Amino acid sequence: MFRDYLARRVLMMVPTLLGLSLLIFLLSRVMPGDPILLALGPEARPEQVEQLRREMGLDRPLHVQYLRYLQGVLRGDFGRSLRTHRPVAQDLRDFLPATVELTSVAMLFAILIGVPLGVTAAVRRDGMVDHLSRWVALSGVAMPQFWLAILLQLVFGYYLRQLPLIGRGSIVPARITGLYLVDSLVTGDLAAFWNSLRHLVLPAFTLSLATAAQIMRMTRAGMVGQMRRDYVLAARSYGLPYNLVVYRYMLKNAITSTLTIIGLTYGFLLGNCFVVETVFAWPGIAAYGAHAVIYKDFNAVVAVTLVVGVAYAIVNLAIDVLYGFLDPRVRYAPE
Amino acid sequence: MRRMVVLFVAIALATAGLGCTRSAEPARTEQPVILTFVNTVPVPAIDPALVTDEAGYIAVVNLYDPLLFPAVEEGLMDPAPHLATEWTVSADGRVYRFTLREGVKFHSGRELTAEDVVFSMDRVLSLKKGPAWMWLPVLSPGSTRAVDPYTVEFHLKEPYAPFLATLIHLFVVDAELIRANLGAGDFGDLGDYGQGFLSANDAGSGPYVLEKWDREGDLVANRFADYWKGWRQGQVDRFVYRTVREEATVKMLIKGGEADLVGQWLSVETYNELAATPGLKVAEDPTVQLFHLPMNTAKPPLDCIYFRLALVHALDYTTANTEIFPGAVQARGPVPIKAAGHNSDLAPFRYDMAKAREYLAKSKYRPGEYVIQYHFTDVIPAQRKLGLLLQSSLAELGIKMEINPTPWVRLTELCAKPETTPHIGAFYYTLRYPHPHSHTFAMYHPSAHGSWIAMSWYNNPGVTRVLEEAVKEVDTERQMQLYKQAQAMIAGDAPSIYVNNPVHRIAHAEYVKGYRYVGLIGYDLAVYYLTVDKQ
Repeated sequence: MFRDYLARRVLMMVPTLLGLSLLIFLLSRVMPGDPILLALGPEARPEQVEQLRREMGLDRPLHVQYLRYLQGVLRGDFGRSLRTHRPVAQDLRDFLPATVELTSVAMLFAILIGVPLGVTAAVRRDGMVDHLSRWVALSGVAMPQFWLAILLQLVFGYYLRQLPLIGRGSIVPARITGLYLVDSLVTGDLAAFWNSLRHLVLPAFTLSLATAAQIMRMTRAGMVGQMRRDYVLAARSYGLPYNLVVYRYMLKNAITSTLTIIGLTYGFLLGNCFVVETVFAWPGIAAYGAHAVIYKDFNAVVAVTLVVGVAYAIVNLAIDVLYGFLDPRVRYAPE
Repeated sequence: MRRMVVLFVAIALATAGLGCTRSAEPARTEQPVILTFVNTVPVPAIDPALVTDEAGYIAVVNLYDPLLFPAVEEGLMDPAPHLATEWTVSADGRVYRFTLREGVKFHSGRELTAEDVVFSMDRVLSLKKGPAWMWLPVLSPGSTRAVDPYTVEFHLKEPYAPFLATLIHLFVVDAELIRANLGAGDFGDLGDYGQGFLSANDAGSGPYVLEKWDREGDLVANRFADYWKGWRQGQVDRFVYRTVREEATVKMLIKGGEADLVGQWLSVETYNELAATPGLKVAEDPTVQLFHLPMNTAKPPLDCIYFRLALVHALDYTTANTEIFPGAVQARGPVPIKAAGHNSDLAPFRYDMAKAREYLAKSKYRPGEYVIQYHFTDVIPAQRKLGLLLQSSLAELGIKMEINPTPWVRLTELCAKPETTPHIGAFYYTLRYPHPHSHTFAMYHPSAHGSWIAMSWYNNPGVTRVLEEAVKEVDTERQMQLYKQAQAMIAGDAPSIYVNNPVHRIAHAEYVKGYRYVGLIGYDLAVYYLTVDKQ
């Protein structure tokens, strides 16, 4: 049963991604401006324009371009970047791990901040922690990321000089996955691990705050809803310890809506953390994608969108699976 | 849950603790001279046959040697001997023969010879990217020949006045190294012509050797010990080009001592703040860049010279160049004042509303007959302010002007056809090589039509004739006279409102010595000519 459920979810990803690829491919072709003229510069001669158009396959009909592109994507070939002059797949290989690492650590921060605060706020409703968490949530959502980023840089990087202002790290571990924390741990390079961690703290915290606020509010709301349920009353009347009831039973039931937020936000952050990547000079895929749009680097635009789309789909698949794991009604319900 | 909280607190404490001690940083025994240059624009390519922008050229200028080099040490932009020590030009102006310096070594250790120059030029012409546009009109693969290991000849299809000046863009690559690292591609035996290899490696003979390049992050290059010019005390051992796009972060880096030099793309306010910071200096120079408002001479009412002259006299240049572009020098014609071949006899345009009314009365169009469309790049606030300034003057004349912020890609697309080109645009155009051809022929000869550089769609057969004569003129003195004559004729026809040559600003620590503004793309940051004196 669970295998069928999983297979259905995976199969549903295929038309979604195909539709996304077609949509973004067409959009990238109708964006204003000639990418070839932009890439070659204003003085380009007609023979230059013609050769590059041919090299990029833009001299072919649109449907042929799309089919060739799809064939390439299946082989892991996303075409060449007009801006970096090399295969987009290579660019993704360099930039994607940086964003995955940043987003993952930010999400970890958000969960570590949001869930405990949400639970505590629910358990001690209208108490000090509840008011404080409400204030933190409001600030986290309201504060513009670029402002918070610069503020943190000023305090911890410029005045206190406790954490690095920019970059991913001055000690680069031997590449295995491209995730510095993972690679440094696998290779036992502790200096690189601490160096990477220190570089991650400010950008990851900046990125995490708004998500932490959402997680906190969702957890609180879910927990408050559970408090009035009969099973809680029964568990308490049997004399089970309060913390056991809260964390073992109530949280498991309350966390599903929070999981939705985590899944959606993780996918969203992958493609939208360009403000944080820009301020902290973090060499990630979001900033790469944003600049690809500005320069009309169409192969890069399509590739970044597809990769983010795939990541989004995978994360949401994982969340769906987790739903099924946490709540048997989901995996057994007839569709 | 308690365990998770403890883990989080432990990580936070450990991180903060490391921040205090910085014990993870390796201890140094020797202190090499490191220069960290922070720019808001990343290096997009380091292949000399592909680069088109300033960031790419900064990398290339430091990793490679060009055939000729601007006279940087004298603060001039004229092409001077470098890899080529001397040259002769045939009487018909079609054959250029260069004698190469002996003993120049590539980073691979191999000696640079004429074959490498031939390979480098043929590679640019075959790839048809980067600087190829400068030579494609007069050269094709096979037109460059090695006479002997230290003599190379260029056989031009026809005389080409700016040819010597363009050779500051011919960076010589190590042909053998590239042949040994060819990838699959469309160039027959030459595969991809080394594009794959040069997208991540250098094959040059320049003063610095590439150590690493993180694309959107750092480019690090170290001193090449066998550099043919030798090394002096205080020169830079290690050059770091760091990309930081956020201006506030750039400011913190240079004020906090983590950057030694920052690029030219910050706001005037930031430069003023940095200039007031102890230990920092801001170098200000008038650029060899033209900022102008080209007018579409193919579209009514701007196809009437009197209407254009009315507009030229309606702009308050003093306000523009003090309030909107502080420190800018008012332009005198199309060629920037500091550029080679500028016609210094040209008078700047004047703000004179009486004169504007006079010209308007002579025009075949009535002031309110057309609504003038002004398009500017939407991310440049100064161009909007200039539009507002012009708009207010034109309103006094009864001319209505609409201001349209336009994305750059859209603006360049609009300029491809005369009917879609706006009435007025706002553009910067930087000198590409030290020759007036760049700001005359490339902007006002009909062969340039269709590019935003030539958005005025100017077509004066008299000027075209003079420009065509100038480009073929072998006698340098006569050639310059012709270019000056063309500038005077063009300015008289007023196809553009020549606003200014803006100020170039760059901030650096006081201990960085030897910085000189050259104005030619990338050459300002020829790190070999800088020294660091922290004593």
